[in-house]
Amino acid sequence: MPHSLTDTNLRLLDGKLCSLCDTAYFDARIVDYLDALRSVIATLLRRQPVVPDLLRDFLAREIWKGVQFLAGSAMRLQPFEAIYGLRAAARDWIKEDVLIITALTQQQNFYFQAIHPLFYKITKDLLQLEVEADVVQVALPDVYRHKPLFSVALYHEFGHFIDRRFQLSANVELLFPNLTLPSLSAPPAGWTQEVFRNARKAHLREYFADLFAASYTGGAIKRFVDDFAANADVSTSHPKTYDRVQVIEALLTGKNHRVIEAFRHALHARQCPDLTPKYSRPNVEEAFVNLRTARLQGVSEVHGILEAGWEFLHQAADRDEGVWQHIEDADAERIVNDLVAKSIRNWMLGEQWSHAPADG
Amino acid sequence: MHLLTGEEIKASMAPARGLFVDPLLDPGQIASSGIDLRLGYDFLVGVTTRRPSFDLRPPASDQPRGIASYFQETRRDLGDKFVLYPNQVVLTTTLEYLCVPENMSVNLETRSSLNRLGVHVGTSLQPGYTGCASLELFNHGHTPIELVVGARVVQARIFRLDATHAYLGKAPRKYVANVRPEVSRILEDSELARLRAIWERNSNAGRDID
Amino acid sequence: MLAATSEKFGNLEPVRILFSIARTNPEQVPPTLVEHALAIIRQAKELLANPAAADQDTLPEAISLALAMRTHADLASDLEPIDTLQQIDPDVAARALEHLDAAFAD
Repeated sequence: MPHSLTDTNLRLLDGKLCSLCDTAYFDARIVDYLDALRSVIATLLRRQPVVPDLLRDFLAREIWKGVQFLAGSAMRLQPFEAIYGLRAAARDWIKEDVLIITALTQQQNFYFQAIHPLFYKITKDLLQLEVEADVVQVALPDVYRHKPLFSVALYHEFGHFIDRRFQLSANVELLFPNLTLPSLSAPPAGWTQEVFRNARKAHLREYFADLFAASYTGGAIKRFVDDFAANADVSTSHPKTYDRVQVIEALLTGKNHRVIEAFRHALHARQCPDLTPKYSRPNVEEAFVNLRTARLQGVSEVHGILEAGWEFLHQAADRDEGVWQHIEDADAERIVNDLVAKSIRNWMLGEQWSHAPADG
Repeated sequence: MHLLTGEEIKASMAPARGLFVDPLLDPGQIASSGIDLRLGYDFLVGVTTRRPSFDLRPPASDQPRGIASYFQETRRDLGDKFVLYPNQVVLTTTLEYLCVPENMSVNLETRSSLNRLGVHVGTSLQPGYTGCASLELFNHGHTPIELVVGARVVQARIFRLDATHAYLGKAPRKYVANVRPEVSRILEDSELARLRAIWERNSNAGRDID
Repeated sequence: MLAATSEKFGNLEPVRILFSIARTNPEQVPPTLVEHALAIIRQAKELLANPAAADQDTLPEAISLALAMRTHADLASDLEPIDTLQQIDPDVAARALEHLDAAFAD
């Protein structure tokens, strides 16, 4: 049989998975997923049942992605506190229990990626192999792993993931092709119709990701967008920052906005969760002023502490009473992020403790 | 100085300025004359490097290797095991975040059960201290010990003092509101600069005589 | 190139792979892929005619495809007559692939 690059890749990937077998993963489901990938590889290499080469190539590419997720897993440096809220948000939107694998990157970048849904369909229907569905890789910068406030961007990226999953912004464009987007009522000079069409789609994707994040983190995403995309003008990939902030503000203050209404319509038709704020803001002032953790009262406050934490941080520099007058600005950022992280972690610990049987 | 009883500890846990322990997973942690505290989930494990020693008085011209580079960070979850090997230094913290009132101080000692396995920790928290208490674990025995994250490992004895002492304000503090183990910041001690100056002067005086 | 393919077509990989295999060996397309890809095409045509028809059972891939068909008339006319695998001969598959590629060009 002539040399097959796909076969070679599969064998190499199996070797890599084998070497990862001894890694102590936190989640037993990750171990099951690893074993399942190896089963798929073994079946493909046996060439029984027969799978067309193009489909084999596709499956091999998705397996490679899966190996990338596993090999890049943060494992012993899991940013539990930054991810907990996302897991809760995932349960709102995706009914199955999503298996989230976290990677810490050296890039100044946040992203989500997942195995293509066709992979699960083919392995189940054609190869008769069950592979855990909905494995998602979340990546955030390594330097932010103890900074939950800066991981607000993860909610925005998760919004993109949900959009891709349900094609919500595409649905809006399909339903409302004449919807006038802010600062994009007509193609700017030099843009072709095709560029303009693609920009509309891109802008809708960004608005949805912002609205998704705002429904969980409130004003925190607004501050983040303002800080990271300060004064950005309209581009083919992103709306003007001013317009993004206006749309977020409209959601948070309950004002009407045509972009929000369009998404609400699409979400309702698809019986998806709506964009109603799902967070409640805990009162952290008294706790943080005294350098104490806040005692959270539920998952909605785990989301809401991000908004509360951001606001406290922005005011910390102006505090001239109590212990905060003795704290330097650089320490203030570290302390607020740590208090937010520990408050979230304490909530998680309480949940784990109370849900475990007393006698094991 | 007065050692607080369990009842007095409970009474002193007022919301704003009193003794603060969070999370207190089990009220039974409050004993007759102290509180049992649990093993935290963040660890800094000492690693072997090519440097022969920690230089606590590096020459001024030298770029000292950060002490953090002699440790490797690792995290666990509640209920996970952490293996403490013989002769290994591991920094961790209590699971609980503590706030010590300005008129109290706290002594932390390993529980007798751990002492008998060769693990001993003894540390104290000053009045006004806030944060997860730092624990420096060392296995004096010959056998690795599998500690469990979240298990009770130390007992805190709390003393009420006759006067209040502010933690912040008079002099800069190295460890404030820490929620994970921090490596030693001993190199920031101002006296080390003075001692280096004394040593340099002594060295130069020696050369003059020669 | 190859590695980028899945990302370029996103959730329309099932349709792309169907046409790619059918272009040379239509008999090799697994039934499960045929069923899934044809469902996407059928729903996309329904949405093109009636965008408000999208509901909780609508395949997300169908929405992407409907949008692509609306802005790329060539693709729409390729897919309009397709209801079964038998209607996809190598020429039909090759044309549809070319127009799908154009619809998702960078």
